[in-house]
Amino acid sequence: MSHDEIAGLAAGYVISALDADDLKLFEAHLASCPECIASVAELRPLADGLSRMTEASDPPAGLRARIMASARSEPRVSTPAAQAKPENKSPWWRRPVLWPLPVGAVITALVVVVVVVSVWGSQNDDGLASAQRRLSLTYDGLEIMGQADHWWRFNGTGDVSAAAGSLAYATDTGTACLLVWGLPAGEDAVYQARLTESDGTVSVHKMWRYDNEMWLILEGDPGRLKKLDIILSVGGESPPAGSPAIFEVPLTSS
Amino acid sequence: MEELTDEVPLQLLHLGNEDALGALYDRYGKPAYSLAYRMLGDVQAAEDAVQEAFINIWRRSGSFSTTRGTARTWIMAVVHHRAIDVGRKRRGIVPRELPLELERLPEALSDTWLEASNTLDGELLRRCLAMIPKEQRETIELAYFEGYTQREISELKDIPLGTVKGRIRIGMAKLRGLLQETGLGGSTDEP
Repeated sequence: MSHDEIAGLAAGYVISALDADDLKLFEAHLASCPECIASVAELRPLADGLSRMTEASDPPAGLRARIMASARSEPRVSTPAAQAKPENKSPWWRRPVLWPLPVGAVITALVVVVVVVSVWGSQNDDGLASAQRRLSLTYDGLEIMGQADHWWRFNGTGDVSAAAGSLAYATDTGTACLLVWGLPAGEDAVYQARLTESDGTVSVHKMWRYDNEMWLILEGDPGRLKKLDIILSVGGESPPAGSPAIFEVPLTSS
Repeated sequence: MEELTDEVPLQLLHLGNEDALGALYDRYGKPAYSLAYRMLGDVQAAEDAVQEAFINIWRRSGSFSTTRGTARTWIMAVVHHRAIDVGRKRRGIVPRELPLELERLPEALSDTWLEASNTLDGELLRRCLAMIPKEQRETIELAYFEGYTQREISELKDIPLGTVKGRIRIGMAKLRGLLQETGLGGSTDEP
């Protein structure tokens, strides 16, 4: 089939009308055709537009509760954020404060500390302190994201093409949170963010892991930086400042 | 207070925050249900489709990035696919292959049209759809709202498959052209 014939399937694709054979053909083609990717990107909003043509219907009253109950029973890795869930009556983005983060953080941190102590009672104090610190930093990161007014988003390429992340900066607090997920896992993998200031000064900061995410809290507006990239070392040692970057955070596309 | 974008709930959803799932439901549950109900015409079936869709979103939230589209586009696409599945199951028709979900596609290329369409007006689209030839409009509606494949439409309407493909391709192109001519104006009309 010629390119034009395959490209002609894009419209059917975005409204989910392709039969199995055409679908397989088109998706295989899509993986390597920027022209058709662009075509799908242009047509996809039409499908979204079609969904806006429906008459408004209120969902049954109990549907939300059933969805939330099902979600809770799903075998999904929980994070501190999932554990700090006060019962909210209104959508949380409408509230002046996203949720009582400091209170939630303290309560949840205490709960987790108790669990950590009971389960890993034999661990030494350093391990416990490290867990507490990671929890605390996670909450700081969530709080920054909740207040952020500048965002940078990025995807990895090459060896880290499965990775993606975001950099959120909250002007009010003057702090930023760098969050990256999908990086190759491994207990001995050490990731560092390398900050290059406009005057050429370079500093490296070890990122900390929570589940599959790598986090880092940064002081000041990242927009001031000349470059922000991430470097990796395998073997437990911190990578030297001059290591090649595995990917760069595009600070110009805020 | 100005409403936050979807970025924060999506980030928190990725971290397993149930409140974020609730927040996305509060924002998109009604249009999601409206679409499912329009497609299925049955309260229970629509509810099943929306519930399955949001659980699917919950399971897979970590793989979605807003660089690949808006939260609304993603959520409505998932709801659309689940409604097709539920509808076919209820009609005793074998399940069909559906497109990859948004998060598994190559990253979309952003352009002015894509950004402007975030505020696409449903009423405007309805008017534009009414302006394209009836055969093209009906074919698009059979595919999108009834969940039929092009071959199924060909059999249902007893017309050649190539004709069905052409109607969808040309109809969608016309629709896009009409919307561009109108400047995609108007406010968002959330059902």
